[in-house]
Amino acid sequence: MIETALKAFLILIYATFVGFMFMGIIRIVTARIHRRVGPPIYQPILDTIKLLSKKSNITHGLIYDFGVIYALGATILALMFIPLGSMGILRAYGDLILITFLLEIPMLGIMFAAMSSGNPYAGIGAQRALLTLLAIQVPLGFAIVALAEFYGTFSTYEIVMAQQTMGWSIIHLPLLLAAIAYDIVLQAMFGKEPFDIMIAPGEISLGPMVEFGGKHMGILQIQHAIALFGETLFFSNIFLGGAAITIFGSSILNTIATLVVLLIKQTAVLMVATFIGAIFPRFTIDQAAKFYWKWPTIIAALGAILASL
Amino acid sequence: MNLEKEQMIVETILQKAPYAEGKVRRERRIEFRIPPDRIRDFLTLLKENNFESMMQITAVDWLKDGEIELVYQMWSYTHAIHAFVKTRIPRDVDKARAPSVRDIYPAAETYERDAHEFYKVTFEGNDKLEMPWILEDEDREAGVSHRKDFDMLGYVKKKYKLLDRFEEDKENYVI
Amino acid sequence: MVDWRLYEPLINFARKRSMWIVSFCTGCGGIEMPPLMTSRYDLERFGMMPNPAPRMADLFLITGYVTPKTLKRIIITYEMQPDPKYVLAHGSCPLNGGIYWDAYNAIKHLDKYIPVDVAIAGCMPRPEAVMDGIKKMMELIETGKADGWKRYKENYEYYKKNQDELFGEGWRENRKKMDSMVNE
Repeated sequence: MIETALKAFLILIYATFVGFMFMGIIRIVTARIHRRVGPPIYQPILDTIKLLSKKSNITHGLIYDFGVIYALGATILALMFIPLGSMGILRAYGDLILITFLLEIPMLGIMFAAMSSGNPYAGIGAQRALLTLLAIQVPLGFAIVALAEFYGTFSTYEIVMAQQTMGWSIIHLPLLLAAIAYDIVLQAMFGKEPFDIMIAPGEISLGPMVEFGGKHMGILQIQHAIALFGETLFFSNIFLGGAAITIFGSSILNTIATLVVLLIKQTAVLMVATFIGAIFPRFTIDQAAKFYWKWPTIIAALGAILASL
Repeated sequence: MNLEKEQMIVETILQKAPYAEGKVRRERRIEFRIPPDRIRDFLTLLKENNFESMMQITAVDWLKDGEIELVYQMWSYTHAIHAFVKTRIPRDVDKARAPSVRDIYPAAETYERDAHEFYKVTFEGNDKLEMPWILEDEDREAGVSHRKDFDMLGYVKKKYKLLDRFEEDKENYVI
Repeated sequence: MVDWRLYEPLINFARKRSMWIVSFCTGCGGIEMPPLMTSRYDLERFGMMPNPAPRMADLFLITGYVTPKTLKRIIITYEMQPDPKYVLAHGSCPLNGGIYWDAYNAIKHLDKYIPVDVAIAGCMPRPEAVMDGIKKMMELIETGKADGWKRYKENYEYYKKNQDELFGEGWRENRKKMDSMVNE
């Protein structure tokens, strides 16, 4: 009991720290692509400390405060279900559909907090974000179905164990198609170009986050860090063969080796997303919805059909 | 540097308008002077001679002569020549009138509103002269204008209450 | 409970290394902002980022001249930001009027209406001069002397008196006074 709580706490600290490093890596890689010196890697930690130490807080009522905490809570819960080597707490119960559902709830929380603030920019941003969320469900569903058909099970932990013997998922053709479709969906879930219509700086003044200042924004930065960590971890587990190393004798070395291998795979996923995000402009909302319902859907559906043959 | 094209254009226009005087100032710039009751005829003549657009209507306040000089600045895209058309009208507020040219050049409506707001020149035929243009309400009620008999520096000192150290000395422009 | 004043050096370090700028480019100095953000004089290595929402920003750059119409909007935006907040005035127009010293439509001395922390002289100052000013602002934050927001709260009657003298009483609620081009 105490041991479980301690493990949960350590996983949370580790995820927050690595998530902040990932946000810093995104900023500095984008800066280097633009041929400038970027901010230091620990910059998001300084941003969060500054935001949490603002002396006045503007609040618009109970739902406004509650939505932010709701988003953070849902992200932390999603993190507990994803297998992290041999350390996942609830990994026996985490199946694909539950984790996908829990990774989409934070966006709903931010939306209803933003809409209750009464700012028209927040309303427009919330509308567009919900439409984006609707658009990414179709290729996501087909990719999950392709995975389930291929391995015959919905449980994430068993998929990870199966990959230790059968090799990485993307070696097999149907799952390669599903991985490509899921990678395009991942761009929208991170909020990066070309699908960052919900957080459109300069167009609609940052969309839903226009009214958040001070402590609310600090909590949202923490949530973004944990969400980045969770989504990349999920992708590495189901498509890139998450690690479960048992060759060393002591369990501490095993854990460290597992975490290092997972970190390398997560960074690779993040790099691909950053490179794509640095060179594309932004789609409008109807272009984005039409795009998602055409090509990623076709690729993912093809993968699902081939997987069941 | 030959000024043949400009010379030819000046002579063409002066042939058709004997009441005007014209000369070439330099390359790509010519200048005409006309009496104030012939503004509309002259501008119609210019429009037929390929001067397609009006760039600005400038008003100059000659305090000692008691007149306001209106300068119509015209530009021709085909010849690439800038023409000044200068007239003089009397200076008192109820006698400073000029005909409006907004049916010949539609852009003149905005420039006439500008000259009316700052120099109190009335253009007959333009019904949008009283629309709010640039000055705010309290400035317009205090009678701000760019005429030389309005004490602009005194008004600014009264409004912002700060410039007691500044003086406008014609010999010694020191702040 | 925890006494947060013990952590002041860390919090001041975080505040000085991650200032977010309100993207409100007034006057003719707005043209000096893009050279600062792009590759040559990179401002993002100090952590400064332009941010479109005033609720999240703490630095307000007033670049260039200010007319009474713009001043109303600047005051409203300044009061929307959460504390602590800083104001940086570029150019000689917010200092003493600059080249518009005898114009009926430009504010002569900005410190009478909102508190200014650091002023940078020049018409327009070069990017190197702006970086000098930002370095001075960082020193002021680190030693805890950047207290424009405290001055605004303590001397609010002084600022309010000056604002009301210029615009007339009750200028926020009066829609006709806010937007004097309303043609109704």
